[in-house]
Amino acid sequence: MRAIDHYLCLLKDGHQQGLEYFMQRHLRALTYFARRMVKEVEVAEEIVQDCFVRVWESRNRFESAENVKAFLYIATRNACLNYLDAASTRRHARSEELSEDIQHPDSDVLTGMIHAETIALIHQELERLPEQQAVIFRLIYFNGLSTEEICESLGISANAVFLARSRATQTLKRVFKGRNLLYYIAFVQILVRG
Amino acid sequence: MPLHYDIPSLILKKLQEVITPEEEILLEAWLAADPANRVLLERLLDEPEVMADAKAFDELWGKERGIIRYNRMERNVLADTVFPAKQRWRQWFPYTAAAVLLLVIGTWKFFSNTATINSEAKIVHANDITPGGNRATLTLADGRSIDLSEAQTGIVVHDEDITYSDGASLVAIDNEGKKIEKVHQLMLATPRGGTYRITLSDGTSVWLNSASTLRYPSRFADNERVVELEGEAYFEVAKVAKQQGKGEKKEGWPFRVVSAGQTVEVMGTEFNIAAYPDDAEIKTTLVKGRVQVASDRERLSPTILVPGQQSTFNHEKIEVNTVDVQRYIAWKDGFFYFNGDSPEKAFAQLSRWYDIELSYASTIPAVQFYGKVERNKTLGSLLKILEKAGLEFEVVSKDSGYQLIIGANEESL
Repeated sequence: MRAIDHYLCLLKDGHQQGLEYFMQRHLRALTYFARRMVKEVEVAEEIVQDCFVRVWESRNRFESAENVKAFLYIATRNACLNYLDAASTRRHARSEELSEDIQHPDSDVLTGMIHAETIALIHQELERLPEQQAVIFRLIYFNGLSTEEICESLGISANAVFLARSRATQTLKRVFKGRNLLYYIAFVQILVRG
Repeated sequence: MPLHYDIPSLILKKLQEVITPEEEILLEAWLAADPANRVLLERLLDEPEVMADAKAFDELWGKERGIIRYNRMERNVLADTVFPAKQRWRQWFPYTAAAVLLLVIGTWKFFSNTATINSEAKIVHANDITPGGNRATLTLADGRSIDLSEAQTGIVVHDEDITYSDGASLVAIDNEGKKIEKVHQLMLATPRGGTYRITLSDGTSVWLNSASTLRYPSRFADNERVVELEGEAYFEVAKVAKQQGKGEKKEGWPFRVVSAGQTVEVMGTEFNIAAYPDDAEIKTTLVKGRVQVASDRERLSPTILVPGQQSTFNHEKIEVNTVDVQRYIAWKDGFFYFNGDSPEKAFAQLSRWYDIELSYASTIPAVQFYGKVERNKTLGSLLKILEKAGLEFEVVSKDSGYQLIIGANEESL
């Protein structure tokens, strides 16, 4: 029996542990998925929380862990669409309650799900970086800082950069092989040394 | 395409250029299944696009903010998915939030009802005495003190700054923006009649009751999380494993609360500590999880509490009792909660919250209080409820504050 099936059983037996497992597995990517649709973070959070509550309420219906995941994405997508439609007062009768839907999610939901999960995986790699490298990564890619600005902001912890250098290079290679982040790291180190 | 095939992992391997020929075939099959899939893959292989997406994801889930968000969402879902049978508190306390239920039973043992009120004292209308509110002072490492907004309920400590709970900016921990590694010692203090909530850098939430002080670092050490408490606070300790670096095992990250002569150690749990300097005892009440309580003298033989238990440390030894937990934590949800409390104990709470001095007109009546009352009422409306039970009050101004004189009314004697 796979661990995931064990947790599915717990969920079906009404143990919150089972639900906690599925949250741990899907909540982050799902919230990101919802956020892309509705823009406001608070709305996305509400929608996703509500969908997990609905998983709990319909727990008897799931035959596999994949059913749970499909239900989550379909229900979240529909709730987002309903939220967006609410402004124009249109209401779609969306039928994620039907089990056929859980077996065959449509293409939009599938690509959205795969996109969200891939970004979650990339982010997980970033979270695995030692702190110093994660800082450099965020400065370059998320804050758009130039090499000089990075040197300046890391100036006081230059020693930490040296110490972490070889490990950083190794780890980053695993994240984005051949990407120019490595050059940035090298630059930072050269400039800091000089 | 079956859902269970792990396409995201294949795409990541492709990004990292470690995909095997067999996996490449699986990925090709997926691409062939739907033209939308190729569009998606191209987007994911485009570095600027993928970085913008990763940034958006990081804004949700990166750093402490992400931990706080996750814990909050999980808590919300778990709160809405409890079995009816498990909602014990609701069975025991079927009042609505606004309901007020207060009974006083017992016998008055008054030998005299001669309330001697200083004739020079000015009699004050109790309705003018407002309850406490969201009041606190934040003290930074450099000694600067900031009075926190009363319109806000809490603050959140991040790596580089401290914000209010709703995200409004408050103060940068280090305005140089350089000292990323540096840890600052900070202090949050509430006055009498004040309460405030703080979320620490690890996601732990602390509700600080009136006249209390919490000292904490801007960031915790790798091996332990230590805060100091004087007064009363409710802790919801985030259960997080500190990552020890690549490849190494995740280890527990103990959380310690140090109060005068006592240390409480936990991993992730909810509990209340009342350690007011003017109380003879420190009371630690466990709501959830497991905690270890140790006196400084007997640090190596800690006492273990299970939910529903309370330890009392009288600066000599630690005693454990099973208690009505609600009685000790209701303040955090905005209530006074009495369950057989003596007037001294009940009025001591009112005294801290309304910032009033107490005076008994004569012998303290041997009554017991039962019930739950909202803390946001004015003193006057609270006293009105107590008057119905046969108590009588007078509020006078004294020095720069107020004094509450407690007696019994004629009919009840």
